[in-house]
Formats: sequence, structure tokens, C-alpha cells
Amino acid sequence: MGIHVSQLTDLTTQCIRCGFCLESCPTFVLTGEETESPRGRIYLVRSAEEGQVQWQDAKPHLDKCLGCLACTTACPSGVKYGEILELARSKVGKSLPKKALLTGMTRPNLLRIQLKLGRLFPSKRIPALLSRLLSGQTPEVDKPQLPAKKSFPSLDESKLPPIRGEVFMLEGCAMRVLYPHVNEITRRMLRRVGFQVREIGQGCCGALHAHNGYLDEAKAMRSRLYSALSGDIPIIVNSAGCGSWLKDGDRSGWVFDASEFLLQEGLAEILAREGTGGLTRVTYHDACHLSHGQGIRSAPRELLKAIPGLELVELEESDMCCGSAGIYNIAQPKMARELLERKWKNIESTGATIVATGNPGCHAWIAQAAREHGQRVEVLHTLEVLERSFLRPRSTS
Amino acid sequence: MSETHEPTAKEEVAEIVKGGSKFFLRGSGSLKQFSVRSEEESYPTILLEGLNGIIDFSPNDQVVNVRAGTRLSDVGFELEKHGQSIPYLNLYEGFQTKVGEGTVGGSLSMNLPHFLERECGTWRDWILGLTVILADGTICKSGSHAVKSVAGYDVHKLFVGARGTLGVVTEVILRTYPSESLPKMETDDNWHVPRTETDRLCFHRVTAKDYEEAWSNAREFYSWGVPKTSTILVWLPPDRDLPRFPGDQLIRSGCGAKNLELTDPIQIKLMKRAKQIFDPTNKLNPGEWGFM
Amino acid sequence: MVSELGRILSPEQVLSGPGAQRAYDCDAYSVDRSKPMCIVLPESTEQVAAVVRWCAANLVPFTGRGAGTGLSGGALPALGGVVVSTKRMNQIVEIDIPNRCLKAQAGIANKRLSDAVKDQGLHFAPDPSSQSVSTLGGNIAENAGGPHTLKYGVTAQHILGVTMVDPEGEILELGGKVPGGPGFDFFSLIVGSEGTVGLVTEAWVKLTPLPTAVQTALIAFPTIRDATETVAEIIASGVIPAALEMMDRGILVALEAAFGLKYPEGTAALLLVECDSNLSAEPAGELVQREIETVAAICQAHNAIDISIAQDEAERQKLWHARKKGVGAMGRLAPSIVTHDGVIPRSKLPEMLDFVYEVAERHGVKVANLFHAGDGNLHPCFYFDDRDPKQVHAVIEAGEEIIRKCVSLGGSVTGEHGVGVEKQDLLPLMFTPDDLRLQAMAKQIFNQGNLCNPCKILPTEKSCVEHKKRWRGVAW
Repeated sequence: MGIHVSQLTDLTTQCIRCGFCLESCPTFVLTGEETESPRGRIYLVRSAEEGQVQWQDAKPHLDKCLGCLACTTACPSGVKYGEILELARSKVGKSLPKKALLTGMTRPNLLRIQLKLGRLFPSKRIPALLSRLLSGQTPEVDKPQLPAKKSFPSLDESKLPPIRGEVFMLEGCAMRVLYPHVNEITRRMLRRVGFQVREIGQGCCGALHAHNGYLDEAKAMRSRLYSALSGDIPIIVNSAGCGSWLKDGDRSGWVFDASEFLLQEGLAEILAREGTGGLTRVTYHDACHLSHGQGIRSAPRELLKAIPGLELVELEESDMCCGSAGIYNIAQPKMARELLERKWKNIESTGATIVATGNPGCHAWIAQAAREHGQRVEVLHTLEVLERSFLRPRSTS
Repeated sequence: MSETHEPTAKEEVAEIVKGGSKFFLRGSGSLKQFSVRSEEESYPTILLEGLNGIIDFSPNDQVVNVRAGTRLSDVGFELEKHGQSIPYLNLYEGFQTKVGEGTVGGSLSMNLPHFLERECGTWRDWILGLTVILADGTICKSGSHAVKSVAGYDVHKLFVGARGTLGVVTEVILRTYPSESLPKMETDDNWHVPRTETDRLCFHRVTAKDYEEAWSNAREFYSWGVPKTSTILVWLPPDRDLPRFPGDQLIRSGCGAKNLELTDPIQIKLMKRAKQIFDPTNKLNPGEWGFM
Repeated sequence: MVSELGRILSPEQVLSGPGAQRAYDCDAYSVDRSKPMCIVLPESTEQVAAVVRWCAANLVPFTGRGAGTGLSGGALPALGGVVVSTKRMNQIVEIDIPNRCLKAQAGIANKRLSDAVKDQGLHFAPDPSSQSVSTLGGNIAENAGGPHTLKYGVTAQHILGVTMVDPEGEILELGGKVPGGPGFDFFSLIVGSEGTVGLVTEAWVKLTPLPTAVQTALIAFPTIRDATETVAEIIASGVIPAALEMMDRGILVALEAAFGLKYPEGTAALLLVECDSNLSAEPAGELVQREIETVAAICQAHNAIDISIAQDEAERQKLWHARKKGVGAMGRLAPSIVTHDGVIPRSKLPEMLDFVYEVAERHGVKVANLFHAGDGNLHPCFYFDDRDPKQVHAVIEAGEEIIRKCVSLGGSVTGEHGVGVEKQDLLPLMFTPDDLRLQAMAKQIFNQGNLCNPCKILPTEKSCVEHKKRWRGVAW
């Protein structure tokens, strides 16, 4: 297993039971149950580790954890909840359907085939059989759709700065199949601040596996990816979940979320000069693995605010998980649905026409809510909003 | 004329209470008008005025420990030397008026309402602890000199407004306040109108913009008004009510004799139970609460 | 039992099984633990009453619980039975802005009350460190304090009325939007009774105007004595700061190690002083300016080596860091910490702090202090390794000496953390058996049996909890 008993005990005894995490935890806020809170889960993990309860007693509660890491932001004592969760999940029983699902989602070619096959079946939702296997509940998640191909006008070379460096860009598993244009936009944004992407064949980073307890596999996948992306140049990630996981690894100093890198390299100034917001009202949803996982909150907002004419309105509970959480909305549909509806209510009350976010999971899940609620709000990756501001003609007034 | 005890120490009070069967308690008598003891019945009176003097006062801690029979004016003079006060003393144009004649024990036992309840609270907010003689003669204390304590039940607060029916309060520890920090009062007054025994005391607070109008409604009665806090204190005949205003508040209605009129069955039940526990033979201030 | 309660409520509102029983076997005070048989999550006062009536009829003990952030075991189900969680009663029922009050259910987090009325310039003043998670019901049960209680008063001063389910299951309404109704003041007795006289389900709370002007200063002193004498003199000067907090060198070392926060060379103690006013803007600004200048002058006279006054909100937050992150920093450094909660008259601070260090040295234990100096509420925090029995013993001895000293100076064994099961042994230091009988009589008005949060507060009831180890709490 490669896991030391003492490691989990040491991690859990860091918790002094102050409870400051409680109100930050989406599942506690919804249920009010100590067992669905970070403090309760840590206590159960410790108790299982010490033999006070069975791992099976802790499992249902670990399963319900979103892994959003909001608790780590709230914790005054620096408890490493993410590590505790990953270790604990690796100790409780594994589920075969979950493993199959992970495999299906993290191999782009397989995912593409699945999506094509999926069109043959009439249902809008993912197959009920899969859902029952995973959660015993009826499915909530719409089947993902292959996107229509989007094309962009080529960049105006005369306006671009000279190229000053190279970077890697993580293409992501879900991202390259479901939102390939976001990858294209990332390349364009990088070019606008003078960076060129070194294109290279790459596999899965293992984030989804790690967050679901397949820690050894996940680490192996991450190592393979690191060796593919060899060379001391920055690795740019536009998917929060992947970025958070990669930042935990050996090359952490070289990994950057696209928004933080672009802000640091002066995109805000370029946006202010060349972009236009067309007087749109935009709100921003903090992807958990960006805000809590990587501590990135202001960079995306700074970039959005830099767009002339764009009004950024703050979203109530912006850093509360939307329920997507990797494969959570497939594994725990009921809780995920409650969180999605709560998120949607908050989004609607901002009066914004666009909600921006930095993670494909949140993107797809919130977009489903948008469809269900009459498509009054458009869901976009933060970088998509930025790209639009370059494409929209500047008014002459 | 019935017997009067004039103890000068709490131990004496304890002995007296232990040895007798029914007593009226009395401080200076300044709040007698609010008492409703039956005139026909006469029991020995324990006069608590002899139990006076400040036990200790630490200006730097802003805490004073005082015997219950001490006149408010005496406490006030002592505190004033150090620029301090307790809010109650400043409420009715300073303690040098008639209010100052009252004793600390009597005032907190009657717990009359005042103008600055919202700003300064009431006796229950100033009291940190007390010593009390129970009906069986036991001397007990509650609370401490600490300005903040959660050690056990705040029983001392139960004696605030209990009109001497649960025990004989002999010593009181109070928090004091820098005089400068207390709100000053300027009043409109109209206490030349006659009032009758059946009038009930009401505290009416309105929003600032309605004060003038509210005061003009109140001034046909025996009344005081505090423009700064938009508060009116008025004695109303039984059949009259003040016009209400949006956002106003009747802080208390029916104080004084009317204070005894309880309608809430829960409150009545709990009071009977408390009396049963603290004074099962109805020894202390019999008749002070009509229904008990 | 579970199925019967499931019929009274709904099955989904009753938790049982080893996982749930474990999760609810203690609150933030984890020295003593006791498993409940089950946990119920009622959604209304009526549901709470139904559960309590069932418990009363079947002689099953029950214990209320909010967020479970209590530091003395108030929510410990000492005799097992049913834990009644208020966490599904978290709604604001009514907001009355003109009369500056609101009514909310007991399970709502305290900070949400302030958040709900901040646009109207109001807030709910009691602010224990846990205010973002601790519940209104918990605040009422414990009569909670916090840094700003020095000026604004503890919870008791901010509660206007409560709805409570008594130990027989009857619903009582005491006090109300308008306080001071006729009759005995029972409701003052309920606040701070640690859930032993019934379960508060809703309350009317007072809303206080937000300050219109604030000045915050962080002052560094070369010696403890300089800092403690400054506190006593600030209080004596007649200025009532909104908060007056002290941190000693032990805390600063922890802050530097945990967060890299740096403080001036040679600092033995820090004072955090905040003055505020909610008068209309202009006089408030002047008043607060005058107050902070008075404070600064007193500090200077006591050899302050550095006085930083916040120029804006961001700087103010930075100055508060030392206070707010202090305990977290301690938690990161030491395997075990014990925090005491004694109170002393404020003028005795210099003497008391000297005593604390002297005791710690004599027993060879490490101590750090971070506390509400303005109230005289100490939180001496011992840090040690609880795997070493000698250290544990020394910490126990030192703690007991400190608490005894607090009482002998006219203070209290607990300022804000409550008695619960943790400090039952300490009450006799403050109270004679007769004094304690008085307290028992007061409790009896509401609770004649031994079902409603049994084995708490009074030392006579302590026997039913088997104390594993005394004096070892993790707390602040």
C-alpha cells in the first residue's frame, strides 16, 4: 500500500476540534450532521485508524465528501484535510463501477467513443444503471455532449509582443474532449502575453483518481506526466482540479493556473487597452480546487475586471462547491443536485448574464442548471470571457 | 403597630428570618407607592436601612460591593469622587433627587423601568453578584467581583425585580461606569397634571421624527419625555392608550402596581414553582404578588 | 427507540449507528466522551417538544447540541440517551429593523445574524472566536463572550426573549421583542444555564449599531509588567475600549514559527486596543481619535517600544492577525495544549501575570498567554506532550494553583467557557455548599429530574461522569 499508519494518525491529531470548518462545508450546511462535516470525518477517520469504529462506518461519510477543501481555508490549525481524505479513501473499500467510470473519463479517446455511443440512447441523463451501481440513486447528470467545432480568427500579428518564452499547457482529459476551444483560447492568451506553447503528447495527470482514493495509481500517472513534460519551463493548467493535484507534486514550483500566470505576465493591461466588455454583467464562481486548493481567488477576478465596460458582481457563497466535484455528481446525485440548485439561485440573484469559472467539472454541471432554468445565464470558462472581449469590436465612442 | 426589626448585619437578618414566620421587608420606603401589600394584614417588618455602607469599592476595577440598605445617594457620592456612577443614579436627573433616597436593595428588588434601558440596560445588567438570606435563614451568595463570569447559574439576577419575595438581599456587587461614558439626559416634563392610583406607568419609545407628535399626545397626562432617546414615560388612566407610531416600541406597560397583573399562564406557573422552592411557607413579603 | 423517534419526526431526522454515535460523543472539549444512543435533528420547536416529551415519558436522558464548539463539555451526552441537534433549525424568523431586533432559530450560526443586517448598519454584538460557526442557541446556553464584550457586554445583554422547551416537553415563551415584562426574570437565569433547564429553540436578539468610527492599535512592550500595568491604567482612565487584548512572548514565538509574522525586536508582550463609537459620524470620529490618543499616551508612559495604529481596514485586519491566528499557531506547535479561563479583577493583572509565570517556572511547564485583558479574563495556555505523565501532572498542578489564585483575588473560575463537566470540581473554590444549594434551587424551578443535560455544572451531579483526565482541554 505504501501508506504508513502513523501518517494518518499524525495528520488527524492536528485537528483540535474547534469546529471552525463547519459552516464552510457544503455537506454540513445542507444536512446539519456532524458526520457530514470535516471535523466529523476527521474524527471518524482517526477513530477507524485507532480501531474505535470500523472503516465501513466511516465510508458512507467519506463518500459524501465533495473534496472541495473549503475546510482547509477555514482551518486555523493547518490540518491537511485533502491528504487525510485521499489516504482515508485509499483505505476504505474500492468500487469497481467507480474505477471503470474514472478510466472512461480520463482517456480522451475512450471518452469520445462513449459520447458518440451515448447518442444512440434516447435518455438525456447518464444511464440509470451506471448511477444505481455507483450511488443507488437516480441519475441527475445529463450525458455530456461532444461540442460543435469552434474556430477563431487568427491573431493580428502586428499587435502581438515578441515571443519571450515557452510553456507547456496541460490539455486535460475532459477539457480536450468537452471544451477543446478553451485549450485553443489558452494558447491564444499565452501568445498575447508573449508565450508559445510547446506542444507535446501527454496523458492524464491522475487528479480524479487521487481525489477518489486511487492514490498510488494517481501518483504514477502524475509521474508519467511530469516526465512527458520535461524541461524547466512553466506548466500552464486551465483546469482547477488538475492544477491543484499537479501543484502537490515534485514540480509544484513550475505549475501555474492559467489565470495566475496570465495576470502575472500582464494580460490585465492588454485587456484594459484592447478588450471590450460590451456592458455585460458577469459573475464569478470560485472552483473549489482553484480557491481552496490553490488559493487563487483574485487573479481571475482581476482579469475580468480589467475588461473595459464589464461589470463584475460578486456571487453570494461564491466559494461554496456547486456539487460537481469530479465525479461526485455521478456518485452522489442527490446531494450534488441540492448544491447545484443552491448555486443556481445565488447566480440568478446576481442578475448577471454570464457566470465565469475555471474548471470543466463546474462548467458542465452549472451549464446543465442553466439549460434547465431556461438558459438565461451563459456559463463560460474565465478565459472564454476574456477571449470574447478581444473579439468584440471596440465601440468608437 | 406591629413589631419592627432593625438589623445592622446580615447575620442578624438571618437570625430574624429563621426565627419568625412572616415578614415585610422595607428599605427606605421611597418606593412604597409601588407596593401592594394588604394594609389589613400586619406582620413584623424587617427594616433594612441599618444594613448600610460600602463594603469595598475598587475604582480601578470599576466594581463596588455595597450593603443593600445603603442609600443610592450615598453610593452616588462615593462613586462620583472617582468620576464613576451606576446608570440608575443618572436616570432621574441625578441621584440627588428623590430617587437618591431609595436603597440599593429596594431599587433592584422593585426594578422600576427607566429611560435609558436600551442604552444602559437594567439592574440585571449591572449586578455582578449578591448575598441573600433565604427563607430558612441560610446566608448564600451568588456571582463574584469578576466583571465577566459564567461560573454556575446567575441566580443573582433572579432577585432583580422579585420584590423581596424570594429572599432578603443584604449585599450587592455592582459594576460601575465612568460617568463620562453614560448618556446624559435632558427631559421634557409635565408632572403637574394630577394622577390617580389606578394610572399605569408606560414607557413609549418612538422614532426620532415622531417624537414631537408623540410628546404632544402624552403631555395631557402625568409624563416625562426624553427627546434624545425619543422616549416618553407616562402614567395613563386605565381606559386610555397612547397613539402608536410606525416602528415605535412600548418598552414596558403596566409597571408599578400594574406590574402584578400577570396573564401569561407559563409565567404564573413558573413563579409559583419558584416561590414554592425558595419560600414554601410564604414567609417573605406576603401579598407582594397577589396571586401567590 | 430509533424507530419510535423516527415516527415522531421522520426516519431521515434520526441518526444512529457506530459512526454517528462516535461523531457526537463529544464537542470541542474532548477529554470526556460519552456515546449517545441516537441523534435527532428536529426542524421546529414543536418537533423538539415532541422529542422531549417522548424522552420524559420513557425516562431517556437528552442533551442539546448546536455546532458542538463548546469548550467545557456542555454538549456531552453524559448519560447517553438522545442528542438533540439544532442544526436543522437555522432560519431567521423575523427582522424588525426599527426596533433593532430579530428573531431566529437556535441553530443558526451567530455570524449569519450580523450578516443579515449589516446593510442596515446593525450587528449582533457577542463575538466569540467561534462566531462564524457557533450557534445562537449555544451562545445563549453558554452566555458566550468574545473580544468585544468589554464594551458591548456578554450574550445575556443581547437576548430579549426566548422560546424554550422545558424538561417536560412544554413550550415556554419568556421575554420577547420588548423586554422587562411583569414577573420574575426567569429568562436571565436561562441564559448561561448550559442547556440544563431546557432547550432554547428560538430567540429575540438585540441588534446593535455598527461602529461609525474605529481606531485600532497594536502596541509592543519590553516587559509583561509594562503591558499589564497599561491595561489597568487604561481601564482606570475611564476609556472603555471596544476590545483590549493581550498576547505574550510565547504567542509571538508561535506566530512567527507558524506564519512568519514578525514583531519588533525585544517585544515581551503585545496589546491590541480597539476604540469605537456608533454615534453619528463626526463626533464619533473625534471621540474615537481622542480615546486612542489617551491610550497611546498611557502606553508611551509605560515604555511602549512600538505603537502601530491602523490607517485603513486592511491594516486593521493585519493588526488583528496576532490575536486571531494566535491559538491556531499554538495548535500547530504543540502536541497538546490546555487553556484555562479564570477571571480576576482587572487591577490585579500585573500581580496575576507575574504569578502565572512564577507558577509555570516552578512546575517546569511552558505557558503562553493570549487573553481578554480588558475584562480580566485570562487564558493561560500550557503546551506540553501528553504522552509524558510527568508533564501532564505538572500542568494539572500549575493550572490548579492559577485558578485558586484567581478565586482568592475575588475572581471567577471561568469567564466564558462554561462549567460543563470540565470545571465542576472548581466551583467549590468559589462557592460554599450553601451557595451551591442556591444554584441548585434555581435550576430546580425548571428541571426537577435528571434527564435534561444531566451531570453538568453542579459538583453534586458530577459523580455520573467518569473523568478520564482532569484539566486537559484544547481550547481558547
